[in-house]
Amino acid sequence: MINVYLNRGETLVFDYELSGLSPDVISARICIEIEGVDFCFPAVVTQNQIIASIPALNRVTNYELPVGATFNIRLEVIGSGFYLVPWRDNIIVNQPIQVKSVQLDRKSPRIAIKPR
Amino acid sequence: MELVSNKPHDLTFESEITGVDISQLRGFLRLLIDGIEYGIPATIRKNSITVSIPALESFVKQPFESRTEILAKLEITGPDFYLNAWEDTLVVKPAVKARVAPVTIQGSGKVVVKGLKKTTDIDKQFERAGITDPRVKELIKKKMKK
Repeated sequence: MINVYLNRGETLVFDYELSGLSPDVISARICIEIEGVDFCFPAVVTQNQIIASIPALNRVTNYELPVGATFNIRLEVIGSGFYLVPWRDNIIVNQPIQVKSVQLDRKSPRIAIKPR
Repeated sequence: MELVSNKPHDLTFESEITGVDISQLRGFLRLLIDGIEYGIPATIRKNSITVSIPALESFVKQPFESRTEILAKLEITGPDFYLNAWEDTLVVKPAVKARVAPVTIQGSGKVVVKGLKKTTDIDKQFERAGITDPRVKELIKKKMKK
């Protein structure tokens, strides 16, 4: 289970081994199923890693995602005619991270000049 | 093809699927919007593939304020295979919306009738002729009576 926050993006890094194909000919994406619609974000494929960035979900969808809701997430790898889902999991929506600061007191600095 | 951003749309594709068990296939209509692929599941039958696209505004955060071209593709995946069966550009039209704000009504809204002005046919003729001077009007009326 992966924790996600509505107002914060997440980056997932997967180690992988590829043989028989160059990383240039494959693409990858990370997909989250929400209310029957797939939200897929492109991932970067390097020689031995796949790096998938999930943006803050509240910037992606108008669906209301309640805290505690879980959704399916999967990694898709697509090549020339082939398709693999090497990883699946669930995400859980956590309380958004918010920092509120309130100014408690405002005092002007006092400068006193005394004659010598 | 055009989509209106606040309306659902149904797409139907004719298809011929042979050599594979249909129940093992999954289909998605992918809409590429602002770097994100939104995938709507497709129903695959032997001779047709249908996709019911919900109103884009209901799930896409990006507002469609003007005509927007988006790439759409129909992906079919099976056990270990991938097929991009169709690809095209769709035009998303913004929804036409009108907001009516209530106008504040001041006062009690009384209507007072101060007097009635009788308008006759001759008055209308004066107006048409551009005669505004009341003395001229009276003269003409007297002459007409005679």
